[in-house]
Order: sequence, then structure tokens, then C-alpha cells
Amino acid sequence: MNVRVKLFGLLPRRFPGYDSEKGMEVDLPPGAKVKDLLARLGISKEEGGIIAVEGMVQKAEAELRDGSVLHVFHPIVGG
Amino acid sequence: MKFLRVNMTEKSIKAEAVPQAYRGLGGRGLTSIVINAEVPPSCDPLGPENKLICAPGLLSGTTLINTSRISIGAKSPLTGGIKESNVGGTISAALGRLGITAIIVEGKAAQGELYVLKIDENGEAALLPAQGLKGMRTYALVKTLQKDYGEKNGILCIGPAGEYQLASASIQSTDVDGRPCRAAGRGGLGAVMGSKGLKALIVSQGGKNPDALADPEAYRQAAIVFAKAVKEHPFSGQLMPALGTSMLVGPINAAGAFPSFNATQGVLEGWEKVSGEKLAETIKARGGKSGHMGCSQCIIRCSNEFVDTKGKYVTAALEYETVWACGGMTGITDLDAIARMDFLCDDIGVDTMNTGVAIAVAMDAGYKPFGDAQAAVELLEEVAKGTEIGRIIGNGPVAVGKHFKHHRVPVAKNQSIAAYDPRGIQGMAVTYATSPMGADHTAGWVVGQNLAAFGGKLDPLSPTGQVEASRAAQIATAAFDSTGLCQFAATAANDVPAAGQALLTLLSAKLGTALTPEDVTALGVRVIKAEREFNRKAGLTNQADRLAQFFYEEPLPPHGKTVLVSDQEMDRTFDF
Repeated sequence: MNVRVKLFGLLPRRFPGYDSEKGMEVDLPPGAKVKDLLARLGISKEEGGIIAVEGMVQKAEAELRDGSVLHVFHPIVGG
Repeated sequence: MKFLRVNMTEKSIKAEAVPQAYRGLGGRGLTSIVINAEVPPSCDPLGPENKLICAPGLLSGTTLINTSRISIGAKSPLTGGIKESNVGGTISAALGRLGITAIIVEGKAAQGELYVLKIDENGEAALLPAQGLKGMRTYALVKTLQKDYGEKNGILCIGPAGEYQLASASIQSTDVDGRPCRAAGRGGLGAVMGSKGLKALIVSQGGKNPDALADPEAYRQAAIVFAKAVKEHPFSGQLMPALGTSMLVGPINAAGAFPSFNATQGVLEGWEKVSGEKLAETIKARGGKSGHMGCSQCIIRCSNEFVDTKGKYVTAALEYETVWACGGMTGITDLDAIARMDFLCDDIGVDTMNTGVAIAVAMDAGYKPFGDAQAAVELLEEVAKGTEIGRIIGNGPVAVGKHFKHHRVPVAKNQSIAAYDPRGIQGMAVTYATSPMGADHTAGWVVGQNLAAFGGKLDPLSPTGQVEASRAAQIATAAFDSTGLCQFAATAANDVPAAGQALLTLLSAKLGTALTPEDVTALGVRVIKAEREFNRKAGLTNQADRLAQFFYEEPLPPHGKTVLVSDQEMDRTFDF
């Protein structure tokens, strides 16, 4: 399956040629979870702590669907 | 270790040794416990019985990084309860280096009289008549004060809003560049300062008499460990200097919890135009500054300098909460307009949050259209002029709601919520409702653990576990806000065991007592107990620990949730 990933904060710098308007497409095996996507991209949990799929934040174990659009943010602290 | 008691009725200043009961306290712990002991809970917040207390943190004035928070406390004219609002800048370290534990401003000058309190490098304090400063806005005011008294001073001051004694009036603090751009914004403490007839507090940064450390060598070593952890942590070492607090705009919108159009939407359409990424990009392209140092001894550098298209200074530290209040809530997605509003709020001396939300409520009531930046700027100028509508706006969202008979007023204990909708992150409903401070995100920030993909079980849209999370965060924060440390340095202390241990060592080496984590928790509980005791006597019982009614009745798009934490659950938060 194929998902579209948009990266925020300092994450885009990690991927040369990343298009901030469109994001990037990632191929994953069926049944892949949020944590599998991050592993595929080499983003550790210290770097990518908040993942939203179609406007809902998801936990690491949530399953992805073909065509999903994901937003990946750093973990947040503060106020 | 001394208190300076400044009596504005008698124009007297007395230095006294810190009484035994208050030893070992600083910052919020000190302001709240002294207020509970000395201020009559039923007093008029703008009358002579109220006291305005300025207390540097326990570790302020030492060599430790990021210890520049000063707590300012009083009975609040906004909430009617106890208030502590803390702010960075340079004055906390300056007071710490003079060995001043707190300045307690009592009494009240005769109506129309205005003074400044000046403390020199030897700790000598003087009250000086300042009629000529009447009505001055804060940027012009600090320029005048720096010309008259020198640039090497830390300054706390009020603008016209404080002199009008408006309920959203702030106390502004000068940053390392000497600009009054940092605010103890919450709770109307500027009105308390104005009621006393005090326009500014000016403290020399040249003090060389800090309190002795019980164990200087242990302190020195722990300070190195702590600083290293803060510098190496990805959040405080990389992310904050690059993007500042506005890095939160993206994730909170993605979570559907960014209150917009006066909290009728959970996602601001076009949020990418006001995101931390966009802000940093705009500042860079125009030649402004990100990664700017705002406070003494700061190594995180979350501050920024926003400039216009010609590269001219507009405002410093355009922060997430301001982008939200002046932008998201009003439907204004133009960074230049938001930056202008931020500057005006600092210059006039009002809380950007309570004031942005007040304007949003007026817009929601139909007084002005959402998204009308010109109207928003004009309303702020009305606050400065002290016109009727200006005073209504400057008294905050509840005053606006009453005036326009509009029901949707997003507050708890009369204070506006912050940039996390309690329907989209239910844990923030608990903190807003139960904090003795009124709706205050910094009092118990449970956003990160609600949204985290890893290591957390909280569902932001469910009430399960939120009371426990908020309680723990509120207790930890009450203790932390007593240290003078910036909350952004807390990340390293929480995530890196060696840094957490170093913080305990620092406190122990300062006080000469071996502290355990349980002692720190006990301090947080003691502070909250004192605050709740004061509030109960002031008439704020558990019935006041509720959010505005509409939060329980109007679902927030996109998730369609209301606040689901029951009153009984709210009352469990502090069942100690």
C-alpha cells in the first residue's frame, strides 16, 4: 500500500528534495502500523512523536490504510 | 535572604530577614504561601489590603542556566482568587544577585500619585515620584527609565492598561536587549500594580551579593550536568531555537484542538500561514532573528525578533499562545497583523491571551467581522485610550460577553483558556477548570502525553485518566515554578535521569538539606493547598472549578466532542 507523508519541524531537512507542499509517498506492506512507517523512514520516537492520520492523532500501534495522509511532528513539550 | 516591604500608603521601605516559616521557598511557592498568610481573602484586589509580591525563584541569581523566571503574585482582579504569573527577562537574576528573596508591595498611594521603585547595585531601595511617567506606554517608558537610571537594570513596569486598572493588565518585563516584551500577563496583576501607584520596578543588574550556597562545589558540578542535558536534548537544544514555541501550531491543529473563530472550530483553516515553520521562514527571509536570547543566562533561546518587510523591528518573541489568541481565535491568519497586535499588547500592557480572546468574543458577538485585522488593531488602540469599548476589551472576555450579551466566552474562573481546546484534549479541561489560577495552560500541561504516539495511553478525546494526569502535572509544576527555572528546561530534567538527579542536587546544595523526589512533590502539594485554601476563603469553592457552560454543550469540530469530564471527576483532582 501507499501512504502520503507530510513532515514538520526539522524533519524535512532529513530528506533531500522533500517537497513541503506535496509531502512524499511511501510504500508499505499491507497492515503496516504507524511505528512501521517511522521505522521505514528512519525517524526515531525521540524525533517523531506525534502522528496524525486524516486529522486524528494516532498511537504507534495504529494500522495504516492505503491512501492515508499522515502528518509527522516532533514530540512536543512546553506551553 | 531578605524581604523588602514597600508600603505605598506610607512611602516606607523596610528590609527584614526572611521569617523562618518562609525559609526554603522561592518563586510561586513563596508568593502563594505569603499571600495565603497575609492577604485577607475577601479584600478588594485593587484596594490597600492586597499585596503584590515579586519573588525570584529559589535558584535565580546563581550560576545555573535558565533560572530567570520571577513569580509575581497577588489576589487577582480577574479571577477573584490567588494568582501567580511568572515571567522571564533579566530582573529575577538581578534580584537574586542582590540576595533579595521577595519584594512585598503593600498599601496604596493616594489616587493620581505615581512612583517608581529603584534598587541599586548595593540593594538600596528608594521610592521616587514619577508623575511625569503617567500614561506612558511601556516601550517609551523603559527608554526613559534607561536614560534616567542607566541601561544595566532589569525593569518590571505597567502601561496605560495597568494605570486604568483593567482586569487583563499585564506587568511587562525587560529582556536582555532592554525591551519590555516579556509579560507576566495573566490575571490582571498590572492592575494591582497600577492600583498601588507603582509604575515601574527598576533593579540594578550589578548586584554581587547573592545568598550563599550551602555546598558550592556540589552545586557547580550539578549545574554543569544540568546545562549539558538541556543543550543536548533535541527539544531544548535544537527544536526550540529553530522554531520557538510556535512549533506547536502544526501538531495542535493536526489534533483538531486549536480553538479558532472563538472556539467554534478545532482547526484553523490556513494554519500553515501562521505555523512555527512559516514564522521562522519569514523571519529568516526578512533578516530578523530566530534562536534569540530573551532571558538572562538562557541557553535554549526560544525567543525571536519579528521584523517587517523592510527588516524593521516589530516585536520580540512572537509566541505560540499569542499567534493563537490574536490569530486563531480572531480568524486572522496574517503574521504581520498578529505581530502588530503582539507589540501593541506589550506596549499598552495587556495580556495577549485574555485580550486576543476578548476581541474574538466581540467578533463572535457580531461587533466586528472575524478576520478583520484592522478592527483588531483599532480595538487595541481603544484600550490604550481608555474609551468605553477599550475598557470593556481590556477587562477581558467575560466583560465583553456581558456587554454584548454573548454566551460563548471561553474561560474558567474568568480567565481565558489557552491554545488547546478542552474538548479536543480533555486533560486540559481538568487543568483549566481546577487550577487555582483559573484557565492556565502552564499550570498543568498535559498536551504532550495526550498526543504522543509512543509511551502514553491517554486518548485526548476521552476523559479516562485525565484527572490523574492533570493532578500530577499541576503538583510538579507548582514545585518547579518555585525554582526560577524555565519550564522548557524541565524537559531535560524529566527525560534524562542524570539531569533530574542534578536538579535535586542543585536544590539540596542551595538549601543545605538532602532533598528527595518526594520532598519536591510535597512542596508542590503544599503550594496548591495554600492556593486552594485562599480561594475557598475568597469564595471560590469546587463550584468554581468548572469551565464555561458552552464547553459542555457545544461540540467542537472536527471531532464533535464536548467536555466529557464530569463535575465529580473534576472534584477528585485535589481530593487531598
